Amino acid sequence: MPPTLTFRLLSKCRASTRRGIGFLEGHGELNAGAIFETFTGTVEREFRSSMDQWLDGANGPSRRFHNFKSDKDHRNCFVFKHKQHRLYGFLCHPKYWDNSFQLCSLCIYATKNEFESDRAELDRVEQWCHNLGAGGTISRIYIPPQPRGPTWKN
Amino acid sequence: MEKLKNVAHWTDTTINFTHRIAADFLAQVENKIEQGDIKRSELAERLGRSPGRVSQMFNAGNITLQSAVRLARAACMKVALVAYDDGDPENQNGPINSEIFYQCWRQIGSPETFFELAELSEPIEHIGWLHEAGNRGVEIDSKGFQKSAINRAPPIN
Repeated sequence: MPPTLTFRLLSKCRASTRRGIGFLEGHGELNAGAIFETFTGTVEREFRSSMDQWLDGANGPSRRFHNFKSDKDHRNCFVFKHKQHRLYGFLCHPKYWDNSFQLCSLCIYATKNEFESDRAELDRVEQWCHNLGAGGTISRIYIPPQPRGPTWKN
Repeated sequence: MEKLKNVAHWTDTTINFTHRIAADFLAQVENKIEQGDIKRSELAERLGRSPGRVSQMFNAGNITLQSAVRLARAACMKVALVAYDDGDPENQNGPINSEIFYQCWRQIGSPETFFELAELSEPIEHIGWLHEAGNRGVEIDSKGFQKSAINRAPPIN
């Protein structure tokens, strides 16, 4: 039986019409959400601070988070970092009616000690980015606006 | 659809709020380093500390007002402690990023006194009228500052 994927938005953060962060879950390797929930103290604060900054529209500092636009094989990937902790995900535009909205869907947690990101993790994230089931799961949480009826009576 | 409304922001405790605003401040200094305006080695030299000790200063949990001032001055910057009312008394949205205050200050023309602020505020209201009438951006240059009341600030890097 195929895994039942789920997606949940990051809680306790500012609601934004331009950017969002959430966790893709429901498969053995989609551990970012579960690991994030175990973070406490400084580690949680560091990640949440970085996530707030990205949600507010910042695109750096890259020591905290960055995309992989210059890597042609992992253009959609994104990472939040603190010390050896890495939360890998991908960026997407789940609102077909609002392409300016960008979502960071976090997928995989890894620990990292080398300078370069682990390409194996990025490969897996990129696969989830193109997974149709994942795309459907994510887009289902966003409800398109209802078309407006006439505001006057004939 | 999941709703995030009516859930306390994670910065609802003083320690979390303090960490967040410290992280915002440190991100401003880190961005200056990443943009190449200053090297970490120069920072260490100005602070009279080893690079390792300087790295410890970039821990938002360790920072004090004094160390923030020392770090900013070493990076050829200054620090302001800004109190503001953003209409969110329950703090459901968390703090406003310090870089937003900085960008706003620069956009208005970097006033250094209330007199300059008053002088700079007036023409910007006027530009607003022009903008609405002409539906286009208008830029003025006053006191050597390139200002625009309409164009948004460049993206934060």
